[in-house]
Amino acid sequence: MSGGCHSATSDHGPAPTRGASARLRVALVGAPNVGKSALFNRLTGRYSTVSNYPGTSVEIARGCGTVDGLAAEFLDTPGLYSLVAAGEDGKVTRRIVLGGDVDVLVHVLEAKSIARALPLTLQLAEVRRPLVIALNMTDEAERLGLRVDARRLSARLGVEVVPTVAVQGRGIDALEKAIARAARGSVPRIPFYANGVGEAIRTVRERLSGVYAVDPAAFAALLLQEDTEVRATVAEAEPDGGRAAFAEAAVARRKFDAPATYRIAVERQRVADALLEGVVRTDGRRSSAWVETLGRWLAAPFPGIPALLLVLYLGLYKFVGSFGAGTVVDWLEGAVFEGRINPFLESLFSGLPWDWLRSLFVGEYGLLTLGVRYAVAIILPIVGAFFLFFSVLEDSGYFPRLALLVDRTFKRLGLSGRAVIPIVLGFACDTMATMVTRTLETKRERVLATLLLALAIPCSAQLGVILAILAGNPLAFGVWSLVLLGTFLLVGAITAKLLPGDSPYFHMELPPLRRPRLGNVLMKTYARMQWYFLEVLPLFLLASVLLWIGELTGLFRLAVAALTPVVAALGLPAQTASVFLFGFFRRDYGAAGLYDLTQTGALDAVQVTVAAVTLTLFVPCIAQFLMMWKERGPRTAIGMLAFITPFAFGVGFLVNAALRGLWH
Amino acid sequence: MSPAEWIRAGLKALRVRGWGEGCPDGRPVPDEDRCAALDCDSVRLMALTVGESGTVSCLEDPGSGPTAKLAAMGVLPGVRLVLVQRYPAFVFRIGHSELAVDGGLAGRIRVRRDRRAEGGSGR
Repeated sequence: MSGGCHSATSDHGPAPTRGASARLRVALVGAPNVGKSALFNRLTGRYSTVSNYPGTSVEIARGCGTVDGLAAEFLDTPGLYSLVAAGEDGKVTRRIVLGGDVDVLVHVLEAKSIARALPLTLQLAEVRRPLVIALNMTDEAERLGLRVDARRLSARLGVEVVPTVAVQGRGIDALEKAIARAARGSVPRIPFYANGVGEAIRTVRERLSGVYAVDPAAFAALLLQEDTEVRATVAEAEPDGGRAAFAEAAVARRKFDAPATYRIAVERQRVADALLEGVVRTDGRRSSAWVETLGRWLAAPFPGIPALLLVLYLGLYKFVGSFGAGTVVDWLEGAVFEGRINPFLESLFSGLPWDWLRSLFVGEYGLLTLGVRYAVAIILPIVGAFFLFFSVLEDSGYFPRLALLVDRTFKRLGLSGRAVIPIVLGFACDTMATMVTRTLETKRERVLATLLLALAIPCSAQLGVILAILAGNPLAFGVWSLVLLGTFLLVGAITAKLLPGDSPYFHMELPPLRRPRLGNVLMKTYARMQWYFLEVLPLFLLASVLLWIGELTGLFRLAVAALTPVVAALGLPAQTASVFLFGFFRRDYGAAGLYDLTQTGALDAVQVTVAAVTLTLFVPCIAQFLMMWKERGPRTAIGMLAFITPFAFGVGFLVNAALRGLWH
Repeated sequence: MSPAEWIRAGLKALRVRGWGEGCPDGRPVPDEDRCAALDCDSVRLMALTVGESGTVSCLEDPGSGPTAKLAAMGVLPGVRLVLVQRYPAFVFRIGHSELAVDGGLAGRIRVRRDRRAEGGSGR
């Protein structure tokens, strides 16, 4: 099963070349939501973030295992329906498939939708590398009364078809043996296409004399379909720069009575249907009626929206808020840190003679007393609770329905409903959400989503504390929520109008609602927590060090002095300046600073509201900013920062003016 | 227009030339209606009511990216579907899978209604 392997690393790049003591390279390919990641987990003993929502496993997860005694390395690739319309992350999968660095391709597909998946199998067969089909979710198919004759299909295709149920671990051994057998050199037959398609591919292929990583037939087919990336590959590989091939492709295209992509897709489906003739038996059963109805309800505005509010109330307010931010944090903060750890640390470091060094670790902004304590006692439980809540929703299949509900509204913001995932994730951690914006299809969407995340989506670290501040004052809470929602919609709509580009389309498969599986949920939560721990927390500690340096060198005081007049314009006392400064380094620090201020009674109700609004809109924390820099580029990131800062204060000013005006 | 848009427009012009010219009655096929001209019985997906079923007859603007997405998801001529929802997006069932698309994509799908009462076509 899972053999010894150092670690599963995620990376975005192409696979490194194989060394002499090589591991067998196996890539799992298939549409979104077919269970590739669950299968990956079974084969490697590791989990790449599984999700019911397409596009979340963006990074190429690698893991090691064994197949029938051979050492193997598995790749879990982003989902794609076809090599042709691959989408942003699908392109990465395509490069892996056409790159030739993989020894065995495993096409993972859902038994119940095999007819729609088989055209991709044919495309993978054209590549003429060892291929195995994992017929996954046979349990669900059986429940629907579907039976697939794997053996018969196998014989027709010339490719082994292994029934599996990845989440239950069934069929894994058989799959491993099939992979080992395929690796020993069996290569699938080229599919026979009629209606001019086969001929067209053949004539173009004959013009490809260069050296290609995989069978040129695959490139020929894509060239016919005018794929720009393949065109470049061919131009490079061919001695004549591809001129002969391009000319042949153009001639072949004119022979079709419709665009080549269309004709080829239709023909592939026809061949797939013919292959499945007599292979799939159905007794006409339908899925459980009430599950279907519930799924339908959740996707319609009524009762979908009330249901959403209920879910938010139970999940966010009760579970993340009361339990996570309340009970767990109180316990960790009080009993664990203040009770035991902090006193212990302070006594440990009391031996250090240098005051400044001591303050680095256990001082007011000490790395350990504040930096680590906040990270572990406050942020981790809140973020953990949110990830847990998120994973439950994800595993149940709710998110595609949510995406459907918000699609129309999101379209006005230049986004498609699919963007609901990064947006919702932003409430847990904006940094992770900014990374997930990769899955959005157009650059325009990605930029818009990143801006909205930076501006109007408070992360859970911040949210927990802000809610604590505003909890006692429902009016303040109402104003805060309205301003945030209004900002989200208004800035979104205006930026969408200003940013050139096409409107995104919305298309999504709606998987059936499922009872969330505890194992899945825990593993997804764990994977996300692990990411958070390794990627975001170190930056928080770095922020603490920077604050310490700032305080030591007096720079901090200078910055506060500079901010004080700005803050005064908002009707806020001088102490709030340091709150905002904190807020840049760590959002939770800023919020906590505000909380402390309110406790001392230094702010009246209006000031609290203004401060909360401005702080929430204020710049993203260091971790998020760095992610924006990495994902969208330095210019965009700085540009957004330059917009958000004055905007946040501007809104604060307006809110202050409005509230004061109303009061007098 | 950006260079990319020029290229796309050029490619589109090339593709359009690939269509067979002429309608049954000899008039040229109008640009927006090319798909419908092939089959007078097809209607847009939006014309179906919830619960109605039909067979996809063709996809509009076949060379474009959005249509390619539909094709990749398995919405192709000959495929039978049932419309299950119209708002806020169009949801239809193919086999045992449910697919959702917005109006922009739904408008590209042409469907031949299943005639139950007349016992007509519809495989």
